[in-house]
Amino acid sequence: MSSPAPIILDAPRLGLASQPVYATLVQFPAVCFLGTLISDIAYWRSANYLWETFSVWLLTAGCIVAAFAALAGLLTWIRHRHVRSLRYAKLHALASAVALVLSIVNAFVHSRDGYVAVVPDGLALSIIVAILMVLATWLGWPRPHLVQRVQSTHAGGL
Amino acid sequence: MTHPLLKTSAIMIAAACALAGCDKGDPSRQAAQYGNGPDLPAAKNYLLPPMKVAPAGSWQQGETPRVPASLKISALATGLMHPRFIYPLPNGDILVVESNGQSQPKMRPKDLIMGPIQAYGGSAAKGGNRITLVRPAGGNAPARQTVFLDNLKSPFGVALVGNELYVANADALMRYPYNEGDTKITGPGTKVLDLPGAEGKLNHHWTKSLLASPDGSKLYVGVGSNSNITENGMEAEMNRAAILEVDRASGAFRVFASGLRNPNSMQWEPTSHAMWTVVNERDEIGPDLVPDYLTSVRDGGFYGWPYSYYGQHVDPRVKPQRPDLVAKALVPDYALGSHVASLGLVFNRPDSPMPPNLREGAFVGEHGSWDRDPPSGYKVVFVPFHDGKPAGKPIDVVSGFLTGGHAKGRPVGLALDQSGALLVADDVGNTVWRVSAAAAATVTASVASTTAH
Repeated sequence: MSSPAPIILDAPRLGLASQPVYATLVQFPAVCFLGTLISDIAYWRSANYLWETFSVWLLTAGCIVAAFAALAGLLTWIRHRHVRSLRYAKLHALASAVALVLSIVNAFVHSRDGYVAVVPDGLALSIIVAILMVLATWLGWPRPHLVQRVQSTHAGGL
Repeated sequence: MTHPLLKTSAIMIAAACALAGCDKGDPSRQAAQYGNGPDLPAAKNYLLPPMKVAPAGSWQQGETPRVPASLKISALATGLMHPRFIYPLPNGDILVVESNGQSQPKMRPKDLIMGPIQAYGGSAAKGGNRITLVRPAGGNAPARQTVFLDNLKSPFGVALVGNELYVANADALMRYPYNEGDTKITGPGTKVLDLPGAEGKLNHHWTKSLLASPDGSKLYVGVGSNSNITENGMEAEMNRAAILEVDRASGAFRVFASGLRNPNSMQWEPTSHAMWTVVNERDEIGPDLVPDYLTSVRDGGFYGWPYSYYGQHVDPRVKPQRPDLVAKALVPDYALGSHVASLGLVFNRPDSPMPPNLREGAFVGEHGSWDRDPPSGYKVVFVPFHDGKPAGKPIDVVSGFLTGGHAKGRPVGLALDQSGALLVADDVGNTVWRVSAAAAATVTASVASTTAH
């Protein structure tokens, strides 16, 4: 079974890592948290409570799906050495985890009544989380040339 | 790799806990808040506001709240369905309004969480949506209880003017014909006026108190705000946080006084003949903010909500602010302490058989709340008056509702019966308590024993 394409050999054993479970789930918090930032800015400028209501529901939905994404991500991370060895994987995991923790804190901030639900703490947290989510996406985007190199090393190891 | 990740998470969680509800109420500060010119700390914002939920308990057979040695207490009516308000009729019958709020639209994720917490504290129990008539029997015989008026919509206030009985439901002011001695009203009633809080719409502070003017020409309706601090928008606050004056003949209304976040149990003060009310102030800016209060109500007066409290203490949670209104905000007369949830008010009468220190002044029913740790309220106090103005610290009259961390009962509406005894509606205990002078009790007992022999 000395195939020149190790990816075929590995596929049956990849399990969760071969399925886009994490990739599917992780989109939700990314969109929700960016949406939170936009509605926070709208609330900051308008003081119309509807924007704050959008924000807090977006945050809550984002946090709930992010918790499932984190679980899928963690299982993939633990079970698959070559996922761990991807160049930016650690930074992606770190940025995502910090974004989730800050978003949970932000959901509590957004549960305050009135203007202080957003300005200034909530808006500041939303900005930080949005930056972290963009960073995490950029770091987590698969780079075929890097994947190839990892797989080559892996195959060489066998 | 997990190491820095875990470390970051741990720091975040620790920081969150530090900011969370670990802010204890200060008992000495609470005491310093009674009366006029209360000691107000700086407002704070929380991740998790301080909270202490006392789970609802129940009274054991023969168990009662506590009263001082000069008074005695007994149950007048039991087995009720969330009694909130008491209204004595001229013939000695007593109306007990059994009610609770309707389920509310879930505006925020917080509402999904607060529902079960409030249910744990006994606030979600189903109200009877009816009024029970209690006819006291002579001697020590138990009072007779019958259903007087049924199928109401979260009723609270009741007022009798001549042969017209007015009931303030959560959504409308209703009128029913009543003749002295009636024990049941079967007619559907006539709607006088729609009140803020239509069915199915958000109706946050749902209780609508009712008071008739001494000449019966006007009816005053207390309408609470539709939010803690405008988080549901100012449009939702139309004709709210106010006392409305309804012209009985025409049904037209105007705002009599405003800026009163949740005014309840308006009463006429017997010496000055001024209107007084108890008001629940705003939450979530600290365990010792903002004290609930007892105040006289001026025609056209503005009392601060939502823009400010106790005069010119601006609340930064409200945008846009209204400096013009803040400038004219009146300072309430008497602070009762923060988060006591004052809902019941009755002035004692000059010929009261009560002990001398409880004759001139007002009894206040403090429902208690979960917005403070340790909890405050859960008792009935007496605020002494002199020449129509509060004079002195409040005196505990009925307590022991909160024992062993459980709320066996929670006092709400108050009234005086014909003999001058104080009646207390207990919505968690589903009881109406009767508090009278202990000395008078001895007299009654000896009379009863004489009759028996």
